[in-house]
Amino acid sequence: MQTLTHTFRYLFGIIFIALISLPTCAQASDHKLVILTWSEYLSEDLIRQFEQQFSAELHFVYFESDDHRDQIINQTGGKGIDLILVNGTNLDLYVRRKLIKPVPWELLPNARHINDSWRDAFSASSTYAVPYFWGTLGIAYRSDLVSKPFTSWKQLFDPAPELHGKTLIVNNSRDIIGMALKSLGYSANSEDTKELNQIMSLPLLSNPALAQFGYITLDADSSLVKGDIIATIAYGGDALNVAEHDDRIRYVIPDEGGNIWVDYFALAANTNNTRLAMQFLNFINQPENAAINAEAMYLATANTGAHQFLPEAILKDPVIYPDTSLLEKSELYRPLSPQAYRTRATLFSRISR
Amino acid sequence: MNLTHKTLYFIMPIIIAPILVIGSVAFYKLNKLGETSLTSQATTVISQISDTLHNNIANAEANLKLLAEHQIVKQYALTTDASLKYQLLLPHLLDTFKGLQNSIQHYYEIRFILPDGFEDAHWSGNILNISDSIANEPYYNDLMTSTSRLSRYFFVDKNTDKPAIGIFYPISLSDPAVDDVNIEPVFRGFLGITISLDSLSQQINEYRLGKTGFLAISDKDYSIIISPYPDLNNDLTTQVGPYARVTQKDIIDNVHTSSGMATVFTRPLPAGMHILAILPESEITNSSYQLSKIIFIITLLVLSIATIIIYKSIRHIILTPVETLNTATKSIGLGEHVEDLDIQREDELGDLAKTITEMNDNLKRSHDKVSYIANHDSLTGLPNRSLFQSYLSKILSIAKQKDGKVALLFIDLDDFKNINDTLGHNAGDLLLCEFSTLLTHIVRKNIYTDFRHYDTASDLVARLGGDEFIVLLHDVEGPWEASAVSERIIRSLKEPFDLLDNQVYVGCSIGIAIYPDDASSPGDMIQFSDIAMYHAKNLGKNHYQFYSKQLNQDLQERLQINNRLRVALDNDAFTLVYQPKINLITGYITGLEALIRWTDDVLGQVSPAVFIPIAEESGLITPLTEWILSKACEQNKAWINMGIKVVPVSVNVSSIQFRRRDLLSMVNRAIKEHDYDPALIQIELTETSLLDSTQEAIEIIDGLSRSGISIALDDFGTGYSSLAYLNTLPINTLKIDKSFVSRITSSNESYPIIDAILALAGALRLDVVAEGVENEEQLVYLKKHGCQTVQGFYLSRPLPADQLQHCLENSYASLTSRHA
Repeated sequence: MQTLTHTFRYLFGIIFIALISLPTCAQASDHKLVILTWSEYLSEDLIRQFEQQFSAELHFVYFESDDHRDQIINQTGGKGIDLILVNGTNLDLYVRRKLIKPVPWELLPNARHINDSWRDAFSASSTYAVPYFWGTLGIAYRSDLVSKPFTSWKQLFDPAPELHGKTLIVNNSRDIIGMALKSLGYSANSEDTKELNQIMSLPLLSNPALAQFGYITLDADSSLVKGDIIATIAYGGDALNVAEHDDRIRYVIPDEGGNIWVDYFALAANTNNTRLAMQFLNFINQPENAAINAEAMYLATANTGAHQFLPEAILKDPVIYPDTSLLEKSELYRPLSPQAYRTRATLFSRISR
Repeated sequence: MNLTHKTLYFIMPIIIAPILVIGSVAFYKLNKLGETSLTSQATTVISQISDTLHNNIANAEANLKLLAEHQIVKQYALTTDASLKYQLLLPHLLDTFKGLQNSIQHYYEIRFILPDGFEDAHWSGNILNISDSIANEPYYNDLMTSTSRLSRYFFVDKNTDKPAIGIFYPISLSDPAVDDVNIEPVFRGFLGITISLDSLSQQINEYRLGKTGFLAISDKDYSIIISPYPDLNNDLTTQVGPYARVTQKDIIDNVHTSSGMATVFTRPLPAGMHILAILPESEITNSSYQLSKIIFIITLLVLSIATIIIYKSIRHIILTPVETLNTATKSIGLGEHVEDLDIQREDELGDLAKTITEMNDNLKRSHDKVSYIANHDSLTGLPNRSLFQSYLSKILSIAKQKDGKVALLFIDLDDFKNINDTLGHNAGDLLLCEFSTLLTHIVRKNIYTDFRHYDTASDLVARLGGDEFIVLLHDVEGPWEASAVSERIIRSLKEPFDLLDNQVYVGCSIGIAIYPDDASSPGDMIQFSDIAMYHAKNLGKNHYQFYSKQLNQDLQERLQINNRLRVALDNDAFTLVYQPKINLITGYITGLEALIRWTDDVLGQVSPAVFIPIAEESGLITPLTEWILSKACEQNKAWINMGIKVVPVSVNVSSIQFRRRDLLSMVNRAIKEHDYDPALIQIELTETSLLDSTQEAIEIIDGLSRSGISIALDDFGTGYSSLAYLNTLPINTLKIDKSFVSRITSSNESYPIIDAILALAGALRLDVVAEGVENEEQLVYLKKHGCQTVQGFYLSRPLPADQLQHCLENSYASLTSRHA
């Protein structure tokens, strides 16, 4: 099934890109921008404003996971896409595969509002990528259905009986293996084969009956709201979204710390819409716009200039802006050695279904 | 030696010989068949396994080729950038491997191997991969020499420690992005699938040829790699290997193994392996031994069953009937009746049986007839006394067991003798027949009439003889049932019988005895019912009477008295006494009443009141009356001869005697015998004698009167007679009954009955004698009211003849002197 779904996704991506590529060749591409990104990851208001202001059309190709995005890129070589939303970890790979090109920073005056630490977070980020949102990875759980609040990754990977079969594992090898490593006290970026092999001894990963695979939906029908799932690895923003439907849902960054992710927009290597793309990036990084976007998305924006326009509720929200000590224990996913990737791929193929 | 044994000796060889021949042939054929079947089983199973494995491998190769064409595989093989390859492509390649393994489970390991033997991408599910390289595997070198074709190897997987087959497909690609079109594709590595042989191993371990034959798998050198008996492996390797290699045959005979000789069948398998079927000699020998055992048992079984069946048949067809006939004939010879000769057959023995049966039946019929005649009354067809008695005994013994009651009705027809006498014997016989029919109809439904259906649940009607019948009611609730039957019988006699144009009314008397209330023995039952019947008869016609002890006692007394009476008649043991009748006016004796006295040697003095009724019943009254008449005449004659003036003597004749109608001849005989003057004799009749047959009475009385004999009416006033006969009959004297006289206590009072009788006698000019005068008052009253003659103790008790003689001589004097 998994294979089939993937295949379907490839096909979908290829056909879509083929369709949108065709007119690109025929007419002036100045007014049309194709963006590969998560769904609902940009304020609708901003989209409308931009399209009016620049007489442009924004087309979006959505991916459902990092793997999915990679697959779309693999199949098409990135042709027909102007802007790609890439997480910091993958930037290096995209640079190496020549899928993205350097950002002409001179076309992005509003870059000055962006926090430097996010611009420099990854080796390739300062050259190739414009920081967008950042956030954390932790545990979302139903406080009413657990006997003890979550404070550690161990509680997730060695679940109490009440959690058996009701713990969700996300289908992402970096997250699963990374957090499993953290639960064992190792770095989420460990390349040590011994340390990596140890994760297979964690009950949640070695016993298929204990876990479910996938990702929670964020609506009122979410399995977390219904109680079919009691705990899951989740992004802080997602946790906030789903918690709006049920205030018994809690989000926590465990004591070991979690992962800090940063999303970047990068210019597709083959784009010939660099100007419009840069106009778009500049537009969304205007502090007021960035604030509108952050408020709409309920996420921590990389645009520090936007803070002055944001309400206290967002700025003081511990989920969006967690305690500094927890952030210090948390890690960015660093690029790894090929052998480490090989080991992790083999391990993950055994974990996932 | 009897017929049975002779038959057996004759039959046994006939059965045994063919069965032994059949058994031997069956053994030979089945043995051959068993050997052939084992051989063909062995070759079939190894062929099947060989084919199956070949097919599996062929399928796996096809799948492998398909997988090699997959985009991700090609992309992966072409990608040299390790980081790109492992980070981006490896997860998807492993997903693809996993997808294939999910659909075909026994492809448990799928891998991409680089030319240097490094397992670059490896999927084997949960099986841990111990080494990342196959460079040290025995097949590696061979594999590397064949980079242009598909290879397969058998090996023992180090990860699982189990035998497996690996299939390797070389991937050779040119990179379109880098390479020139004309450049030869570059060898990039092998795509490999490892196939599990678990199910084959399981089959090898479980499958058996017969009991001890088994399968094994060897490698290309005939080293055994899979076998259920690891100990045998060396044997087989050293024995089979060289031989097979040399001969290239697929059947190898006479292989020596540590467990004996064996035949080995072989078939090639993929990857140079062989499958072997090892069939030990002992298997064939054993199965033929087993077979011979089974055939021996079957032969024995068939032999015994056949023997038994044939013996039984002969017994059934000949021996048993002969024995039966023999027994039957013996029984018939002894005079016993053989109930049923059960031989229903259409052969000579059947005919013989029929003949014997007929003979037996004829004998039985004659016997039955004789029995019937002996047990039945020839006239009525009813059981006779003898059958009745045996039946009664039987019924009583059953009643005793069951605590039941039995009623015995003893029936005697009244007046049968009269009918016989008056209407003749034919009418009498007819009456008996009709009465017996009547009885059988009246008695309850289950009536026993035929002794051949001798059944103790039946009631019985029997004729004892003469006019005596018996009804036996078995199992009665109580006397009332007997009463009911008796009443039905009596009631049915209200209708007249039609006898030869005569309508005749007949009565009957029934005596009933009940078992066990009255009697317990058959004899007593008959006797007591007879006694009861006798009493019933005494009660008059158409009565029934239950037996009681009192009845028996009375009867005993009466029987004794009756017996003594006969003796007394023979021995002249009676005497006559005479009571004078006195004329009150003259004082003379005007007559004598002769009264009989009996003093028996045994009984002493017996009152006439006792013995006269008995004599009446037994008929002795006739000779007794005759004797009295004769004696009275004789005495008076004697006195006449002595010159003594005699007076008439009166003799009492009972109503029974009177009814016998021979009174006249009897009186005449006495007169004639003694040459006696009829005027000197008077017959005293009771008023009741005249009650019934008036016409006959008149004739008798007229006859007497014509003979000059006077008639006195005794006990006058006590009967219920019409006074008319006083006018019509020639009666001379009325005797006032002493009961009237005894009422006179004073001569001054009035006694209207006596007055009336005296007036009546006076009016009719009849003499009157008052009886039983016992005192002065009575005498005075009677004299005062005109009664001329009296008799009684007051005047004179009855006197013997010698005493009376004196009185007669001086009658007046003696009597007057007494009253002076």
